[in-house]
Amino acid sequence: MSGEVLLQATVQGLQMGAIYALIALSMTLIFSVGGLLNFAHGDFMALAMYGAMALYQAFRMDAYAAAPLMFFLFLLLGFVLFRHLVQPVLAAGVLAGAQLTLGLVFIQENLLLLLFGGDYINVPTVLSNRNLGVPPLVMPWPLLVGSVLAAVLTAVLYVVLMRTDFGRQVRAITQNRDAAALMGIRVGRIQALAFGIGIGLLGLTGPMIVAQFTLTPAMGLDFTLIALIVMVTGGLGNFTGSMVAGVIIGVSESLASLLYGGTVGAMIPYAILLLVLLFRPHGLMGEH
Amino acid sequence: MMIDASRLTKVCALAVLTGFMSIAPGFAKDVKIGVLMPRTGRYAESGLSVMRGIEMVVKDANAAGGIKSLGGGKIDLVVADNGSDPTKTSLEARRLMSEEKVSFVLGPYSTPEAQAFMPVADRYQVGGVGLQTTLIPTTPYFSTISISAEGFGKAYADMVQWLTSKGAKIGTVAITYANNDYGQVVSKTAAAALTAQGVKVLESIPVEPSVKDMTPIVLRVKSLAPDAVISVVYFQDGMLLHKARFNLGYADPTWLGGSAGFSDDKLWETLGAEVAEKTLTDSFGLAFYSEDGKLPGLKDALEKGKAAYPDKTLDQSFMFGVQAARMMVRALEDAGSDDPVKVNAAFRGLKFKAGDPAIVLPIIPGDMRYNEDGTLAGTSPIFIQWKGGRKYIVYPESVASTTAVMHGRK
Repeated sequence: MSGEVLLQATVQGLQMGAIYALIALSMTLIFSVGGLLNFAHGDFMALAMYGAMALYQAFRMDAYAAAPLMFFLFLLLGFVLFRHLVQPVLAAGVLAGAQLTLGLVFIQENLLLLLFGGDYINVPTVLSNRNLGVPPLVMPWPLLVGSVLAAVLTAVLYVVLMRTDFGRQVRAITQNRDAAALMGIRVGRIQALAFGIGIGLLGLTGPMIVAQFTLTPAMGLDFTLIALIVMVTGGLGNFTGSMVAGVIIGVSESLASLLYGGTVGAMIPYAILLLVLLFRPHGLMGEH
Repeated sequence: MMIDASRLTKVCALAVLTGFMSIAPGFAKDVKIGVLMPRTGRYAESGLSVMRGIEMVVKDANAAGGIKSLGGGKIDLVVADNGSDPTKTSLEARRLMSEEKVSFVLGPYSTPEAQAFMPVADRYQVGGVGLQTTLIPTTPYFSTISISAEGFGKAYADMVQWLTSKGAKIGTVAITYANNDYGQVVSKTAAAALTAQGVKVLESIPVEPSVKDMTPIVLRVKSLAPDAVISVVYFQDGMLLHKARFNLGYADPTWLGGSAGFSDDKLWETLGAEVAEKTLTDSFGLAFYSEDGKLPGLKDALEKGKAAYPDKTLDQSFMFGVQAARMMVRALEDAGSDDPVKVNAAFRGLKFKAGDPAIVLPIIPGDMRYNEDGTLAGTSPIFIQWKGGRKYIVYPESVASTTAVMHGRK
């Protein structure tokens, strides 16, 4: 195996890892504030991808141009959903909330099937099939853009959480919800806002990485799985941890597929998760 | 013992009347046929396409006077959605057979669904026909119109041998395969047949069907530097494979693959012309169906399909639906009964001469009949090549509509 091939696989893994991290970031945000495991996470992203596809078909709007619009639409959707659906159900406990999101999986998948049919769909973008050649490496532009977005979002979320009033309120709720309420923090409002931003980020992420994937109504579950693995491996509620875990998983998966075949490559994310849970139950960068 | 003459007369009269009712047009006996297809879930689009094919044939048969041997009885389709899920397949099959009392079931669609279906069919003694099922049936109450995984493996090896006879230099082969029952059997059979031909199989690389990036796999293949590659892929992993080949600019080996990931009717459009031109044009796709097939039954199905569904793609799944339904109509005629056991026996006993309009799929190039195990005799997959977004059969030569192109030369 030549060094060139190994380097190409490593770089490819780095980029895929950043995409994994990007998918996991909003799940981390939603979990950090409400303790809610959103099983419909990947399906919201699939919905955003289909939204980008619909905008492209209707107005020839490129997915990258549609991303900011989708962010605001999904932010609103997330806010309304939390206020009228998630919040009342969450009152019955986190388990009820998880069941609700499982229900949303089926609703969204079948909604997509009804609206767009079950055909596989490719959404062309200005960057589709474009590569950045840095000999001997070839890097697809859609992956590069996704990687940069992942790094930027990680930094922004970190700053927002650590340096703003909103972030301090989110952290206060995460630490002790009742005490936060007693200190005058409007818990429901902050939770709704955080949930809205989390869903909004999926609205942003979906169109930004749509060129990398083939759309099908049942695609969401795969995204949810990878987001869960990355979030738990990195440490629940830790954005930097999600970024680090995503990159580790992406590179390991790519190198293992190259060296030992696709089956071993596919086992790698689960093997890493298992090892982390055994030796660092709170995740790579999680706190006790 | 005294025989009550009046009672005997009544019984005889009733028997005559019953017999008369069964043949008289005014007393036609409708027959319920179950359709067990995925209308939701992973195979929903294929299932819906199959449905269109079935509905077209049944509508035509009913409009043409129904089943003659049942006094012109109409076919009444009872549709059930199995959600692309084996468990639901089992439950819905049970419902169709025990509650709806269907005489036969068209479906299920895929191999895992068929595995769940067979024990139910066996128990209720109601026959069914699988469409894209690559297993060998284990009950007399299940038949398939697809080809077995072993048949696929051998077809790849035959194709390599044929390409070599046409001047391609193929001494080494790498195989990538979807790591499930089907992919493993295809890969093993192909490797064994290739080795027997004197072709060296460098490596068989398993790939999970849910893979998100095929670049590392293509890099591994590239490092092996084979003369040819065989890729057993589905649609999504096929898309990823072609994208990775395009991005890495890897076009050296002769690439064979199938089925959906190389020959699905929507593949070219979904992949986009730019990638498709660079990857599909020189590749050979294993397929069940191509529009340019020469069979009279296929041409007829295409003509009627285009009239019935002008805005839909008449894809492989549609043709599978037409094929299964035409066979079912003929089996009902032969059975002359709605008794599930008789209908199933008639289905298994079907015999069509080459060129019969009931034969739709080009994988049945000659006469059609069933083997004892419920697989079709004499089937052979076809290989297609893409040109400008259209598929053309290049192998076997007996059904080919054009000459194979190998790296730009015929």
